[in-house]
Amino acid sequence: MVLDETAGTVRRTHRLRNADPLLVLAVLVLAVIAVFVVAPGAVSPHDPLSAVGQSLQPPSGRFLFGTDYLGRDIFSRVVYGTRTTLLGSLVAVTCGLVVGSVLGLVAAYFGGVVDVVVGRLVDVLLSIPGLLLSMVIVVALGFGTLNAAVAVGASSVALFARLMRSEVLTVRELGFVESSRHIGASTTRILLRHILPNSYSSVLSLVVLQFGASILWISSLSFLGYGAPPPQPEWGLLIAEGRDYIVSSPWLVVLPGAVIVAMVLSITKVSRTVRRRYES
Amino acid sequence: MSGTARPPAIDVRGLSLSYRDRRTHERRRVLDGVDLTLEAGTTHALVGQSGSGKSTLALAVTGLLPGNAAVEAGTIALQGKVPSRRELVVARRHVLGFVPQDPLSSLDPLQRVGRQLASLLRSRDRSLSRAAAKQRAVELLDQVEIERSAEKYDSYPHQLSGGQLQRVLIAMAISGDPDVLIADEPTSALDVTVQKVILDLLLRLRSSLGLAMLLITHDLALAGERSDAITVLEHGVVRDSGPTTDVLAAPSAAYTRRLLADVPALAPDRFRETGASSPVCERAGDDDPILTVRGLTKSYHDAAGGPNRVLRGVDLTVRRGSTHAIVGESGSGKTTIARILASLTPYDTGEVRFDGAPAAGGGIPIAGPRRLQLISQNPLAVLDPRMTVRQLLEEPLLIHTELTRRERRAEVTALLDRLDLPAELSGRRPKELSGGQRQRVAVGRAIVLAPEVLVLDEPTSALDVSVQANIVELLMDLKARHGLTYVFISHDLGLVRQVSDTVTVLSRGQVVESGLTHEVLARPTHHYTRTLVDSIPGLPHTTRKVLR
Repeated sequence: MVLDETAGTVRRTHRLRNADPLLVLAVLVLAVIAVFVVAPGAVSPHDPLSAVGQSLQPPSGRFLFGTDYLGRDIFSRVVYGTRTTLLGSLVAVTCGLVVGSVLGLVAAYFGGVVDVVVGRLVDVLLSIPGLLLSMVIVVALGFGTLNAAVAVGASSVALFARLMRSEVLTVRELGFVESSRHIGASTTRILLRHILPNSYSSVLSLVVLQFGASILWISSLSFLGYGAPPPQPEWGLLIAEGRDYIVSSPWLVVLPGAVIVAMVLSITKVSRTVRRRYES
Repeated sequence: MSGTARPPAIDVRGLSLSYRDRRTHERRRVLDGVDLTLEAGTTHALVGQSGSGKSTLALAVTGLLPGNAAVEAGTIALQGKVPSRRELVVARRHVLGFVPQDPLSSLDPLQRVGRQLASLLRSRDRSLSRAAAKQRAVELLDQVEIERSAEKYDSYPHQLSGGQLQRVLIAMAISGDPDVLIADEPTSALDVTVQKVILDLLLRLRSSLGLAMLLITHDLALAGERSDAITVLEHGVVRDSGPTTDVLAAPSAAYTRRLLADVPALAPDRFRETGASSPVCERAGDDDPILTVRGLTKSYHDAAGGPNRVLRGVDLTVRRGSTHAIVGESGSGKTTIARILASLTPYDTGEVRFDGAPAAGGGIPIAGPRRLQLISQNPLAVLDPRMTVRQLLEEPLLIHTELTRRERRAEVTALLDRLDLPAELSGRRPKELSGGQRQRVAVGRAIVLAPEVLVLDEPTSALDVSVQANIVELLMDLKARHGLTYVFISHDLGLVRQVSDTVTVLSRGQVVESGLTHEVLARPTHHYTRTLVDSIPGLPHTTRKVLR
């Protein structure tokens, strides 16, 4: 056993030295995006809201991603839009995770009527296409980034609840749950200290997946005009605005789109690695 | 012993073998210069604890080593010849038969057992017609003494008992008409009485088919009873080998002597000497009972909807400060009693009194967690995998006491010491512990609140003999120090004889016999008890019905 432990540290340093190049790339992308979020002013060369050059300039040294139909620098708009978009996804995922996990946990642990009620609720949510549901909610709540995020979060509640429920159903039958009850642990303690920590690992990996999906969804909602109002820079909105010029100036759509793709792929890559390490 | 002129069935010479860790790429030596000779027509026992390399040796002989294993030195000859890779494939079909440890996981759960056997036969002999294969399969099932073999041919694995499944696997092993049978812990997943029957069958087949058998086991008593020669393996090194009678009568290695001392059946008085059982306990448990059970019944609803009566009126009396054993085969209701006592399962009718007070029923525990604790068979299952040893031991204190953080830490540190666990283990999680350490942690969780009664449900049956001896020693020590009362549930009569004062023998949910342990075991009045007593391997008065 002691030998195993030292082997573990050897293994870790060993791994660092010949790390997966894709993983390194993914971490770099996320680091750059983190800088975008924390200090957009330091990175972006121009003011994202005012015209700084001629309209519809192709990408160049001065305008990395070119300019839009008003002559605003696309790159600066992408940089400034990061915070809005990521904050939106964060809110969306948190909503889905918290509400969904609690519903799933409670349904699975208590069973019976609770399970039936939650189960049907989840069925209803699942029966409506996610994007449609988000649109209905966002229309009801009013337009805006935060509302769009809540709407996306609400439509992922069902997903989280389902997964959590199935995990908890397995975990609650395990010996250590009964053993804790035998020792005299309260229901709250069993739920929070034993069942939750042992069932959330797959839910957490869904969080990361869902984070990527939320970026796309919020972008979609913005694209359709339900999200951040113009001229606020937001990734989905940027693509929506560029759509009219897709033939003459494809970079308006392609480059911000590429940023979204890079971001989502990087998150997925990193999460998968983390999960694999966590499991082994 | 016939045919001394025949070359040895298996001849392993100076075999050294290592595994490469798939992640660190470090080599780990698992066998180190092992010599083993299995003479034709004899039974050779290979004894060792888990991790000693005994299964690896079996895999090496059959040529089924995993890809990360490398033979560093030595040879393995089958019937006087070192086979090539190609010859080994043929040998696996026609020379070697293999009986695995866990019969259930070795069969496809979705295929009828007879068909699995028949398809094995047809894979060996393509010319065999379906009908002929079926007929031969039924013959094989008859040969391994499965009753109503034609009917059982159409059963799925889950419809058969453990003993019947093991018979099916033996049938598979002998289906190729082999010369050598390798049995890797063929009975350790089975009940004692079934174990005896299966071993009898194996030895009978061995002599009627003239096989040589390599019997791999961790049970030295069993090996002593059933083999002609014995090899004791520890950490991949042969510690002792020779004719069984010689090795057991005069073990040359200290390791073998320790193993012998650790087998409960071979050292019935081990814990008597240490004073675990005081003269006071020599009385039957009627005065000062801490637990009384009267007419306890319990039934479950089985899949068919009918009631499955697990307990049919069980009476028990456990005297304060004694160890009361409950003995029986799986399915006899032992575990149900343990769960009822621990208030984990409700009971139908009857009365359970703890310390004089009748159980209130309606979900109120028979005895609170501070008075009665259950220790179960599988510590890995009852320990939260996400918690460290310290957290696990601390949890009961956190729930039931008002101790400060610092006091709790001190308490846990003291407890680790009492459990004989090194302090540096406190940050480990259950998966990073050995089986014995896990069970120590489980025991620690149970005793940290200083209960009066511990219900031990097969606390050592998942452990090796030496580890078992250590845990039992710890339990006996704790009992003496804290004046605990034990309800000790086990199927191992050898162990029960070592540790208990009184015993209740349970068969199909009914008490067939109870009384002082040494009296019941010395003079069993019920035939079921006699069967159980007879199946303790290595017991002096056991008639050695070994078919050589």
